[in-house]
Amino acid sequence: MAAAASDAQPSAAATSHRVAMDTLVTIEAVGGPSERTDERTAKAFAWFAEVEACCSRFDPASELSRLCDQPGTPVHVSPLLFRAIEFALAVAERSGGAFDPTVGDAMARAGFTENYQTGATTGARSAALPSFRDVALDPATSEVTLGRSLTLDLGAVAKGLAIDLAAQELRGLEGFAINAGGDIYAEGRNHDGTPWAIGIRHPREFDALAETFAVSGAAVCTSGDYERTSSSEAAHHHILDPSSGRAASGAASVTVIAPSAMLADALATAAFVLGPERGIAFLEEQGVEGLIITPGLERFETTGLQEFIA
Amino acid sequence: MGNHGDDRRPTASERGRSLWQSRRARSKAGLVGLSSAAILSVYAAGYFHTSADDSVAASAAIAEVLATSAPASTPTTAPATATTTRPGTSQTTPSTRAQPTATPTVAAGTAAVAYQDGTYTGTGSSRHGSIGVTVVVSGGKITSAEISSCQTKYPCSKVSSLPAQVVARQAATVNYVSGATDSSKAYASAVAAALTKARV
Repeated sequence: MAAAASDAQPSAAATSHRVAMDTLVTIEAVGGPSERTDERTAKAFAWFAEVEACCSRFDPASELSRLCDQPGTPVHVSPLLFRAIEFALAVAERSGGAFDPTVGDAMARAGFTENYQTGATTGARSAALPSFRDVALDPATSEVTLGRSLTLDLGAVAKGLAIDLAAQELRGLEGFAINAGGDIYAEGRNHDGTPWAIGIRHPREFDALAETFAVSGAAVCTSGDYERTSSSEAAHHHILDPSSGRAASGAASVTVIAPSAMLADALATAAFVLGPERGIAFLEEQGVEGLIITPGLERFETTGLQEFIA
Repeated sequence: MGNHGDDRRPTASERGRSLWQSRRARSKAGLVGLSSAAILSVYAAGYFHTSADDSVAASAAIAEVLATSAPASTPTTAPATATTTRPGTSQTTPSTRAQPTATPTVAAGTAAVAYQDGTYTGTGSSRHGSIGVTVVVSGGKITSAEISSCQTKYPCSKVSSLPAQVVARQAATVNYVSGATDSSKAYASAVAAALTKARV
């Protein structure tokens, strides 16, 4: 059968690496003339630099930092920053505050302060626990107003957005995958001509995979309690419960499969804070698939997850 | 999954899309739609914070093509998990999937990456410090990726399992792993740097 045979043709593949947004970014492009592919890959990497220059909480010169330096004043921002904040606030609203981009100061107090490029540290702006309701948007003027002194953290949105923007550059190739520190978007076919096989790291046994998914045209993002332990507190991982400012403890890892990496990453963070039962219910409600593994290694899944299991 | 009702089998990305369309219909909440709209509008607006030309030039210089494959024409036996499973297709096309083709055309996962035999070194760093590795390639495959130096704030035992993973994952049936640890970044960068020198 011609259709079945062409289904699994091996193709040329090129893999490139670059460090951006404090993580290793890998782009693999499948098929197509190599000059065209190289140019697209370079443009895809450029989006990581663009998003980082805009959205880094660790860079005092970033547009985000300059916004946070002006509480109480409407500040006109770029489309990139406006859309990133708008999306973060929408996830905050839908998750009842389980996801909250105003955790920046709590993150800084927990010891997540160091700029990976310069080694310089950024302190907290305020000792209070603000909420996403302290941020007002005006779409007509592209203005953002912070109602009080606070620090926005777009960590769970910006990396995904960079992946999605990079994917826009690569769209149309036979296949491609973008991996930014374990947050992945894959489309079309891999070099074997099959859908991309994405393993999920086991939260407790680092040599093992907890699951393998076959994906095409989807992002797979995982939030784990084993990532980014802060230097100030050994047991303190990077996902804070916005209501307490302390590390959330109901899940060991949350994996979300969604049409975009921005969505998958933000919803994985929200579900992590919500814990297994409420987290799965929330993911179902948002129309994405998810797998939550508890510290006791119990598995909780959305009903459609099985369709992706390889 | 809806019934497509036509003879042509949907491509993988079409299947992906139809899956999300059905999800979207189920979810009135609209974060899926909001994220798509945000991505398209930011993409359309273009670069504000960096010069596109500068960024493209810089990343073209930095980006290193690690592996360019011209797949072998000789059919090879495929790993069991790589050929038969597709997301969301078991209900729609079971008979097609089950039929063996006369000439298997799926290459093993390792065929696409070609390395020259030798010993290569590389270093990588993260906010936690730097790691040096020595990668040995023999018979076109990575036979070891040992840590040669470890100057990190975390104990080096935290990354001691990674060299075995690199060797094992060559033969693994996964393309990428979601949920990588931060501590592995320096190591992964070091291996990537070493393999850049090893590419054919």
